[in-house]
Amino acid sequence: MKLIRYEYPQMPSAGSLNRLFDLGMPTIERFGGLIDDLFGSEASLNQPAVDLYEDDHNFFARMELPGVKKNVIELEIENAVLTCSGNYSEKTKNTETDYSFQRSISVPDGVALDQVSANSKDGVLTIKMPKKHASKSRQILVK
Amino acid sequence: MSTTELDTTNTTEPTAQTHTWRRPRYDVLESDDAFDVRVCLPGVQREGVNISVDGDNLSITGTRTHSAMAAWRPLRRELPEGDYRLNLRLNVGVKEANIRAHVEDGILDLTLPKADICKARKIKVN
Repeated sequence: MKLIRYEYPQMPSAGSLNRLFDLGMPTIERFGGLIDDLFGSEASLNQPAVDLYEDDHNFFARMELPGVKKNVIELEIENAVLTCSGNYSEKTKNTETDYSFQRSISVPDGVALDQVSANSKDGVLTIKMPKKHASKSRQILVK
Repeated sequence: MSTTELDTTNTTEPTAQTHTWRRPRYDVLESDDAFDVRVCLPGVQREGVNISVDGDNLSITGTRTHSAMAAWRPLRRELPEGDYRLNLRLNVGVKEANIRAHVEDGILDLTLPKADICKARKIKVN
């Protein structure tokens, strides 16, 4: 059994406030972001934002993970909860900083769990969750 | 933020109605002979990055590539839309011809070598 972290309801005013200060949307929505901007820490990377899309055959989850290499991203599905996490460190000339992130989303109904795939490109992780073929309705003949 | 000479511009220019811009997260590090600017541009390929220096204004724009996403129907959106734009004011001399840029995994690494007159001069004690 896994718990999904509670998501704060989106603040309708955050968007306009952010636009006013020319900040990206998630900075205020996932609190901490604004504080991080002030203090220059990357702590808000702890829980990256996720977009969820669908088309006729798949669901897609998109996550922005700039600077995160493919091999540090860990994906796990347990009880219809998809967890994406990772730990990595970043080295500059004389500093080394450790980062970690974790985000869980509930997998939509009707996903073929064994066919989920993921692709990371340009710092964006795209998780493809194919839909199960809808079971065709069966006509039953009345004798 | 960090102890650098680079400063963000305070002027808010009117943004075009047709284009929404998003201000990327960035970091500036200073070394002895250069400033290193790291800008987070997730979803931007090398070709989508545009860097220009106009006088003391360093302007960076990043255009995201939308591959096959047009047919997707959004169910829930948390990420902001729009391409990236960042304007930084350079109040130190920078060798414009020697600016180097590198894009990898959605991170733009920009190296701005300091102009010779701005470098700290070491004075030897005899």
